[in-house]
Amino acid sequence: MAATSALTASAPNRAGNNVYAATIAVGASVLMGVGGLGAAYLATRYPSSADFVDPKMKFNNYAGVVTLGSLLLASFAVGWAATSARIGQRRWASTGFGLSALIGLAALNLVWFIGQHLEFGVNSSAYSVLVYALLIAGGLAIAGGVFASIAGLASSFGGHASPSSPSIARAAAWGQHIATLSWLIVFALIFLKK
Amino acid sequence: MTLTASPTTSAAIDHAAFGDLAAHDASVETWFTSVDHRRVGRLLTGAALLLGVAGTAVLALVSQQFDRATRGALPVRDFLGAESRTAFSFDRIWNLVHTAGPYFIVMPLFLGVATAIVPALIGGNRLAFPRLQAFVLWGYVVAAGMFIASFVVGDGPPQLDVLSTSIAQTGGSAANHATNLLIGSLMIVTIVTILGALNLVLTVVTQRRMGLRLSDVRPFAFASLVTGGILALASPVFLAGLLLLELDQHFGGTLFGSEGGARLWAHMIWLNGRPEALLLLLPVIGAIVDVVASRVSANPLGGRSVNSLLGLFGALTLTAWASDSWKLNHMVQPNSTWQSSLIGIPLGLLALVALGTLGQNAKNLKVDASLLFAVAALLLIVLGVLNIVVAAIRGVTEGNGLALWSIDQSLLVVVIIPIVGLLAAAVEFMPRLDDRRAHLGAASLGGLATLAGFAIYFLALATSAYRDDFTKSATALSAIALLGGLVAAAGVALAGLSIAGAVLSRDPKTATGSEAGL
Repeated sequence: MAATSALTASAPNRAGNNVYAATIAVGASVLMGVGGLGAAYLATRYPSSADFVDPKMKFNNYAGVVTLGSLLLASFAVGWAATSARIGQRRWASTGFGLSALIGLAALNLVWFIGQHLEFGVNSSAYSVLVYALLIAGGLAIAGGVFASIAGLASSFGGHASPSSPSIARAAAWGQHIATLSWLIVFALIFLKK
Repeated sequence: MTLTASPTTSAAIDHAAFGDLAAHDASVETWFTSVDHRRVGRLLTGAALLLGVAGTAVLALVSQQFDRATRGALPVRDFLGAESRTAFSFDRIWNLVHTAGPYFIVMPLFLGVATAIVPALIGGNRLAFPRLQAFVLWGYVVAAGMFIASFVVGDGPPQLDVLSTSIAQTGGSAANHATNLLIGSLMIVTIVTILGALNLVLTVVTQRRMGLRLSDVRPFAFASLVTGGILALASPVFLAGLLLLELDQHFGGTLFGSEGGARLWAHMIWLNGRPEALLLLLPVIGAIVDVVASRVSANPLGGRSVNSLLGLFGALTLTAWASDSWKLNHMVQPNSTWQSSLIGIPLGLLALVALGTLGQNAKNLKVDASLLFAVAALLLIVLGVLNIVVAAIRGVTEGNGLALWSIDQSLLVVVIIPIVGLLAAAVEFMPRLDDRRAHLGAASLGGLATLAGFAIYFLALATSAYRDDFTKSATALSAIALLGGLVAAAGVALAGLSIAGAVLSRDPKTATGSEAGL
């Protein structure tokens, strides 16, 4: 009987572990995709000794930095939420996930703003194709992070992110962290390596 | 007793969890709504085989009309007898074959076979995310529809052959609807491939029978784990390449025509420059070892080292990214670098494991059609190795001969061997999920036709590549290759029908009885 009870009790954790493992695996795939674009950027930039980026091209560094700052803040908030869920502070967990989702949405809006205010079209040069592709990939990753935060918020409201099954909250947190890491790659390439 | 030691009762566990769907839940509606891994896997396998067989038949009918040497458009006559040229050029048909083979036939076939049998092989009763695999199935159907449509709409996508041709020539021109459809279909099929592969990985990691260690899972299940993992890591790079391609083509950019464009093409889009070029051999060799072990009711020779070799094989496929773009036309592609040539070591050792297991336990051998498919896959691998040796001695280095040799070898490695090897696993394990077995005569005939057809196809194209006068020999040899392709397609269809017949049969004579379980 004891064995049966133990198996029954472990069932929800196993489901949570599946979601956690899936988030890490999907995150690795996302980072490979963004990393692939980064490698493409570098592979195209370095053989071209000149004119890869037009020197007259103006870039809004401010928006890129604020986006990165926002995402770091979202990562902090979601980390706080996951820890709160683990120690049974449901209200704090919900607040953290909610904050993270809102900041993520703001970051997504900033990426849209950056894309709208680029002073060149997609077909201007090889560089422009790569920049637009990186922005799209970064935007999609941030959207995924927002989705993860909202899922964490929903699970917190529903009582699924609790000390007995912390994996769901950890999975949601990793979703946001992966979005932040993805934007870090995009930011480093577009704003720092230009 | 471990799973690798003997058959288990996982199929019985499966029945307990889902019920016997074949007997109790056979309404048409359930074929569309089911999340049972056996049904989803079989549907995915069937869809991939159907596309392959139907595509080969259509190709055979259409390609007879082409003058291969001049690569002209297909001539047609209207009802008044006036001749005109259709948009179906030789290049479009050629592109269709090369793109469909790996992405719309082999990868879904792998996902389908693995989805159906891996949960049973690890003693589990379900996938980690059953509904996700149903999504993969229907996503694949949508992508396949878009893919076919892309070759019917307008003038079709020019020069978008992801297997052999660079797109650099088309840089600067805005894409037509067909190109958008083709790239869209490839994006969808890649996304569902990533999701399906991740689901397989998570299934093996989290759904194993209690107490079964990862190093002890059976070779096909372990090969599926490694293949799924590498696919999940490598395919996003392809997806990123497709995003670049769509932006470049749709807006008329110049990325792939730029100085670094060839390198991007080589490692993000061109199949032979990416890990997937050799990766699809991994589940094949896992299936061969597993089928042989199953047929002689013994552990594979070498114990846990088999899984280590499978892992090494997977890791070495990643070295495909290490080759430089100037080696695009290297004669031993897709093994175009010494690093990726190292794959021959685990591949050869695993082939020896299969033969050694068979030799040591020959007295326990129970012959079945699956063994025929496994041997056929091994023979085709040997044929591919011989082709590399002959090419090295003969010196096929440039011109049409090299181009044809490369395409021929790529088709063998990426499409032909995986189809035959995965059919071995399908014929062996799929019917047994419902305690049945494929019809021995039909499946064996299918196996023989598949081996003979693919061998004829391959040898005809290889001979064509070795001829000095390419255009003179092309017509006769391509007709022989076509005949081989049709025979192989008939063999694949027969094997698929023998599995479907066993699964759908109510005849108790097809039940395996004491052989129930995997």
